[in-house]
Amino acid sequence: MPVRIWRTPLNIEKAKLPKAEIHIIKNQCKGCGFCIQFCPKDVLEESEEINERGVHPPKVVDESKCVLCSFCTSICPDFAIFVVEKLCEEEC
Amino acid sequence: MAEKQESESEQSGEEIRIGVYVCHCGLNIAGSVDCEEVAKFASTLPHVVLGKDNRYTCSDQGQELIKNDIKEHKLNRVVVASCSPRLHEPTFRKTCEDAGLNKYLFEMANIREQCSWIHLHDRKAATEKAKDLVKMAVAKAALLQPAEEIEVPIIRKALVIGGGVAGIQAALDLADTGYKVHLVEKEPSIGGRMAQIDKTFPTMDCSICILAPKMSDVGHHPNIELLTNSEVVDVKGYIGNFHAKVVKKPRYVTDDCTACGECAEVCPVIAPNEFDIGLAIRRAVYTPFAQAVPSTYMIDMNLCLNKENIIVCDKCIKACEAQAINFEMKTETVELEVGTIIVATGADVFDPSSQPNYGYGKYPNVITSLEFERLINAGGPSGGHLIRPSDLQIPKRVAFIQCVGSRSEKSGRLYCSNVCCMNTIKDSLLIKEHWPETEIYVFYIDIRAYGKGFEDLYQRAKKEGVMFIRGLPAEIVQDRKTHNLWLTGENTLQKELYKANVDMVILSIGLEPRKDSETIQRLLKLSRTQDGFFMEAHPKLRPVDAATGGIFFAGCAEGPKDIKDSVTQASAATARASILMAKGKVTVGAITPIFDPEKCTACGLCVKVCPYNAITLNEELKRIEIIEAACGGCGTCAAECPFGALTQNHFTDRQISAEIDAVTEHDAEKKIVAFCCNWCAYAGADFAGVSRIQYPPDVRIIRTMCSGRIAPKFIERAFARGAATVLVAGCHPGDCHYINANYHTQKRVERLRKKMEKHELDKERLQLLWASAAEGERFASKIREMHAIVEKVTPEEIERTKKAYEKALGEV
Amino acid sequence: MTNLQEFERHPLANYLRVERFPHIWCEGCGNGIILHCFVKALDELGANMDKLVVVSGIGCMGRVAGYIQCDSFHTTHGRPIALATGIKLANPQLTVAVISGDGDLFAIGGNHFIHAARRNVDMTVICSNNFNYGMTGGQCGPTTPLLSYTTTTPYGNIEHPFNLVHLAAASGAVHVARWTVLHVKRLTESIKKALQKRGFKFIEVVSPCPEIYGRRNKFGKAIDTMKRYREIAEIRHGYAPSKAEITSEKIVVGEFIDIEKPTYGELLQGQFMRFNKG
Repeated sequence: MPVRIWRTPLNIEKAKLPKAEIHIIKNQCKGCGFCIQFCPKDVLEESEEINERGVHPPKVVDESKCVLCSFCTSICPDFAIFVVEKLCEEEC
Repeated sequence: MAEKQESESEQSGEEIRIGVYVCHCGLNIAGSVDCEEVAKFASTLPHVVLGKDNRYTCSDQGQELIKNDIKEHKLNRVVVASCSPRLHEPTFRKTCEDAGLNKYLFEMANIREQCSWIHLHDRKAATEKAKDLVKMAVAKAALLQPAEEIEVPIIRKALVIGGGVAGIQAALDLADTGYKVHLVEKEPSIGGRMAQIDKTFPTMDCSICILAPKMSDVGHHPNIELLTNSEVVDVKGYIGNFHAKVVKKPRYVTDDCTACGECAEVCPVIAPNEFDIGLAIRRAVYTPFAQAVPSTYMIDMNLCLNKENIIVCDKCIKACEAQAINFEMKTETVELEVGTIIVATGADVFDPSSQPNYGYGKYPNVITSLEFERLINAGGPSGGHLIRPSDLQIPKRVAFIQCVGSRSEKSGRLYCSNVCCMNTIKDSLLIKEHWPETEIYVFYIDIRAYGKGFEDLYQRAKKEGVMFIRGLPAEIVQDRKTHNLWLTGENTLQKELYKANVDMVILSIGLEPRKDSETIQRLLKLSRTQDGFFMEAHPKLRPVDAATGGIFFAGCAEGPKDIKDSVTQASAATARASILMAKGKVTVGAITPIFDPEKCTACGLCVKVCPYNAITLNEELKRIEIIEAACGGCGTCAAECPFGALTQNHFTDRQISAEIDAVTEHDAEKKIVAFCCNWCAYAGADFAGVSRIQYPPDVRIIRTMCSGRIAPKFIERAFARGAATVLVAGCHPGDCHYINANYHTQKRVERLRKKMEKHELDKERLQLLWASAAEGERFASKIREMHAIVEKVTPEEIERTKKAYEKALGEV
Repeated sequence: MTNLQEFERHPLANYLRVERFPHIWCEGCGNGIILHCFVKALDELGANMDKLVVVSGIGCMGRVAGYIQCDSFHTTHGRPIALATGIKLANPQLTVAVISGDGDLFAIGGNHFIHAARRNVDMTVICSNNFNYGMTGGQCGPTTPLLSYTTTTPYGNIEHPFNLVHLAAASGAVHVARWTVLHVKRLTESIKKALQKRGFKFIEVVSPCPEIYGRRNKFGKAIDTMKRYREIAEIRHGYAPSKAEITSEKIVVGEFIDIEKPTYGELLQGQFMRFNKG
């Protein structure tokens, strides 16, 4: 049905997506860059700071865009980044 | 394939014995033509053993006479000079067959529609013309050969392209008859437009409620193979023997899916839902709508995060208990062998963004009728509440604007879309049902409530207080704060301007041909009308047949229509398809090519011009091969071949040349030699006769099936024999009965005219006319125009022409 | 917060000896990813860590025994499979996993591999294939591609490499798969499947070695190798292992063999039962 779609859906607020909490263990990171490269929502980018090992660990650009796919968690060779769901009671 | 075996009977020494019958047709012919004289004249022609005249040749008596004569006088060719062969050729062919004579040894001379009826007041000229026409027919008859029609077997399976209500109905009907059906649908689910509509007119039935059982039947029927999310990419073959290739796009969800929906709950990707016209959301893994058949989910890989085959997000995989998600699924190709094809591809809707004065796409509260259906549907994005997109409030005043994208030159669509008037009436009643206090205005040009129960619904709407105002608004302006809309226009009945303030505007958008219908058109070699919908073989008598044999139409693919007509047409298409498949075989007319392999140089020109792809080039054997069953019988290949390797059965080069010679034997410098195609130009000339339009008696018509049959050498021969003028007439471009063969006619005539200029001859003596079967007056005008040219042509010019083209008189 | 405290909040921290982290593997080395996938598989299966034994050999991947929080053995070069066979026979209740490198398992350990596969001893063997001997300085090994550069083949390797999945299948392994470290989700699923199956299971994981093999052959950084995997990996389940090759243009991944066969332990047990009844 190739009809032109241009509206914002009326029920877009109803979509409940889980909120993410991204933890970066800065001094465990070896700066390989896998998480930054392969994040499907481009949530991470290389930070300016230098950690103990002399490399730039990643930093979070926009935590609200994270969809909790946990690919960064899995692809990190150093267990230096992990994502958990933010459990909220009222507002997050 | 019929190899060259012309003049076999001459070689075998069999004597040609022709019987000529000149019909009075009561006074229809005898009133203007001296039939006795013509009959006597006929007896003097070579090979004619008897020439008779009688009152009604087509009657039982007349036919008995012919049959007896065939036996008694050992006739082996018959010529009847009477009405148009388009009327009675089949009748007399049967007469010959009954008497044991091959039906292809029969010829007719049209001395009624194309002689007596158009020269009512000039008996002498009419009789002379009749004699000429009989002479032409006899000359051709002498060269006719017996022929057998070949039988082609038909595969008893059908392909239905398109799974809307028309496709569903056609598939069910065919399957119930007992044939195996493949139903191919592009979208992930069948249902089409009808699944999106809330209620149907005039009964106010819930649309999906009446459609869903049919959809379910299709899903379960043992004779139907349902291929959704699939497209037809290639079709080869011909009537009864189609070979189709279908590409099944992967869903990435296997058949184990139970449609529980757990995957969609966890999918993090949100996008607007096409089924709800973007008014609601869906996820990357989704099912098109709740009642989808097949009932399964699928993954939209354009949205899914797992690009390039790396699984990044596996939430749906983890959520699926049936373990039905499979990202490794690949596109499949399915090959189908079918006998008939039903095209039920449906229609698109008009996009009113191209009408900036209505503000669709800018003003949130201007919606289309399709968006309205989704809003008012209980299963839609707003749970059945008609809400304004801007503030989600229920409007108190709404306006419907009719004919958006129909009946208007500005939108580029001149036709009426058939359903919008009734759709608006139905919609207005729905609003009144739920919110009776709502003020409803309908701005219209005409209200078309032609069908059963439609007028009642219209009256009901008026009774409920819906206000119908004749005069479409010129423009819509939005109030920036409230997002209400001002419509300004003229009420043409009251003859005063109006400025209406409403909360919401619904544009009644029209139906338009699908943008991807070009693919289907190219694959199946279909024609389209000016509106862009597919063209049926005959608008009155063959409304569901395509011009190409074995293909039928159902639903909006052929023209905008409502559900009832779509279903009706689908059942009609099924019946037509069943005729072919029940017989199990079809006979092909014996007007296929005759091929002389010795002369073939494998140049491939004929392959290029055949509209049916019935000729292929065999590189190894260095010659062409003809698929007789696929041949449409236009003769364009014969006209294209520069080496004389091809000619057409029953319209051979020698036969046509004999007709030209017969016409130009006497007084050629006073005649218009006309070549007319059977379907349009010849029919147009017949129609002029039926309408009793009078025109000068200069023209002598030679009939071929298609104007594409006319090789340049025929025209040159006519000129070489001293003809004053030549007319080539055929169907309008785009309407050619043989799809596009007349395109080659145009090229050939243009080339010849240029050559005439080079020879310093008056190129106006060669004319090209496109005239349809309904344009009798157009044909007559052309003859009058050419009559003036005939009068002007000097004897000196004729001599020069004869010299310039004398080569054309050589070996045929 | 110290490194350790932060790390203890990692969802898989329970399965790891967190005090030994950060591990010794290089930046961009695939071994860490393989460890993560293995441990994630254990987590998703809810495995009993008291019944798990991990055996590894000498080499970069061989260090893995020190990082998993279970009974593990870091054995002599080439012998993890021999040890694993002993462990499994002594205590058939245990789940035995051998995780090691390509040099350890197929050069010096080649013989153990083919016979354990032939006997269908119940164990899961995960091979981290980085196409050279990493830990000892980058020498060529049985999986080094033809004409590649290593420290012992400065002019190009003249030996044809093994097709590991072909070797495993031909030797009689009941479950054979290959993935790259980029295919984390599918690798985790493969490991889960293998751990739940009985018999000799083999999973080859193609891994970048950015500091040594990658540097010598000008592959750029680890991230470039990962991007290359994304381009050239082709998933073909059920493909004939002999045809599933690794070239510079194509890495065929997928699950190739999945069959059932009585294991060595089961047959042995069966004989015991039959002949000890008297």
